[in-house]
Amino acid sequence: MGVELRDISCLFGRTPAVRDISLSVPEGEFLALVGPSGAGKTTLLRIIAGLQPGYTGHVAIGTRDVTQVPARQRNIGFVFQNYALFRHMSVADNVAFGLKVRPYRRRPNRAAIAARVSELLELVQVGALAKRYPAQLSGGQRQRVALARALATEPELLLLDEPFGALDPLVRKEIRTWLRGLHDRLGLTSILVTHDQDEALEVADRIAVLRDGRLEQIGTPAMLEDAPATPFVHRFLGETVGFQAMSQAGSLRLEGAWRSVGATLPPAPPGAGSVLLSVRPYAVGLAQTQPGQEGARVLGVQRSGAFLRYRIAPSEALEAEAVTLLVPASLPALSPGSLCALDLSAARLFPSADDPMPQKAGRAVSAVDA
Amino acid sequence: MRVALAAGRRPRTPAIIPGALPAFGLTLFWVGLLVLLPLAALAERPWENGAPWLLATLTTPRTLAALRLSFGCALCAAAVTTLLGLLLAWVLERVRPPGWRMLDALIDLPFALPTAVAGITLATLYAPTGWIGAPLAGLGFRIAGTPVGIGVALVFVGLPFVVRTVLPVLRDLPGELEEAAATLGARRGQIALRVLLPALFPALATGFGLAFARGVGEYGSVIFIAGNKPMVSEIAPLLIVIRLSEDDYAGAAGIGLLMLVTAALCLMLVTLLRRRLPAMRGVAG
Repeated sequence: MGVELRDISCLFGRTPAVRDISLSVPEGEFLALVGPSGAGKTTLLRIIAGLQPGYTGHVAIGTRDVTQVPARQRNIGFVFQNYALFRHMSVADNVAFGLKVRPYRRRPNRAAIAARVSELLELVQVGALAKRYPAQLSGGQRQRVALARALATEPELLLLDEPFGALDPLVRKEIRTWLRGLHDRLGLTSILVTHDQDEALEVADRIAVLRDGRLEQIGTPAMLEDAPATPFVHRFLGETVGFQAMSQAGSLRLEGAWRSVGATLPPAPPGAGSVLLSVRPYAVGLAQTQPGQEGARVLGVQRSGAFLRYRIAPSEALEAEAVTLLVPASLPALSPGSLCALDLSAARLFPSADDPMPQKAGRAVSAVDA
Repeated sequence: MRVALAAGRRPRTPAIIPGALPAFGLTLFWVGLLVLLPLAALAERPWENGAPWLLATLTTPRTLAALRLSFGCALCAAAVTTLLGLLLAWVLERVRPPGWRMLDALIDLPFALPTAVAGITLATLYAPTGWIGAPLAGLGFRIAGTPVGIGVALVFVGLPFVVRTVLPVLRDLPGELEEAAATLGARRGQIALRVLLPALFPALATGFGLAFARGVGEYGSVIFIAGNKPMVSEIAPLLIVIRLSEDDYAGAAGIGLLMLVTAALCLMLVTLLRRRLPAMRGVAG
């Protein structure tokens, strides 16, 4: 079932954890909530689950307004970051829990519960572990058991709070692909919280980027990449290099240290003012300059997988302004010390005032320190 | 250049703490001197008049009654203490009533109080003329001078053992367990019974064992309230003291040995049961 959030706000003491978020998740969608830690994504997920007291606004699951409904009556499946398996119960008992605690009239009989449990354990591919205890399982197995437990009550909505955080990278990749397959097969509606943008880009239909409790942008991965609403969104979904520029009378010009470097720029936005050019390090074109042409200085080149990693500065004296760019190794290499022409036409433009955390022009920023 | 390698030599694994070996030796020496040697003496002493004599002394009705009373009261008191201790720990950790810090500090009072002081206090309170004893006497209940009185004293001294073992476990239970149960549709009562209580069982078992062991040997806090009537409210440790005052060292040591063996067996049983608890599955310990 779909989810509808209207004007959700939540305070932790005096600090707002979630500020006025409205969004809707259509039935069958896989939505990822991403953002740096402290962005409010887990709080938002807990509000949807009914685990977070003291929020304002409205939550609807399907056609039912559940704002006043406690967690146990919301019919959701929740997978916790640390799995929260019941240690004193076998795997089978963990999965059966949601069925066994039902009121007598709605509780399936023993045989039906046992059948459902083994069906679910097969579904998550841990059928052989029914009699084991959580302490005897590996991280990936616990993850699958937690998922089976959450699915046992046939929830309308599956909520996942950083479910892959504790897994090693290989298992992580495998299990998230598998989870996406399961989502499609069972026709679930799922909301995943993660701080790993790659994970979100890989599994989600749409991504909601949160920052400081606010919804920065929501859209498909392609939309967020092609038309990021803010520099933050662009920066969060991948590495970026930023340049300050000035837009005036229909033309765009680099500012600061890079001013004297002749670069190909995207078309100027309407109006005048300061502009931030944000570009992926692999989307910048680098070419040998023609004789007499102005250019940037190549400080160093390093092979990095299928790419060459260039350190480029406006001039040798301005090494502090250096940026790192990635160029496919198949292109002809430029030698250190040579001049190069920059092609920044793939850069996204943002009015500079858009970015409350202005970055130094020409400094590569990764999502981690954002 | 090839280096000649000595065959069959494993690199020595460094000790975890510096000086582990001397520390280990010293510990063993002290344990031997302070614990094992006296225990060996205790085990050796009772047999000096011969086994038939020992059997006869230990099976007199008075001795049997005292042993039955000590173990029975300790068992009942440990059970009550476990329930009360769980309740107290729960209130301290989850309810946090105003002044809970004060209460938290008071829990340890029986640890610190000289047992004789506790004994006199309890005896005064529960005497037929005491603050608690008088109203109860009006209703026809007698506490002082009966096994119930002994139980009251044992609960008093045993309570901190249970609270102090359960409280940290309760504190460390991840909140997600309750939240997970709630999202799966469990009501508050079901969460408490099916999720929290089983998770606390190992700690409760340990607390029970400690309270029981303390109760069996408790002397100072009991003798004042117990009244010490032979066959009715005379506890085994008191009987040991009586035997000693009669210069019957063999008899005293005999009762002591029997108590030691029985208490050790009881603790072993608790440990075994604890290991079989579902909450301990797949966990070392």
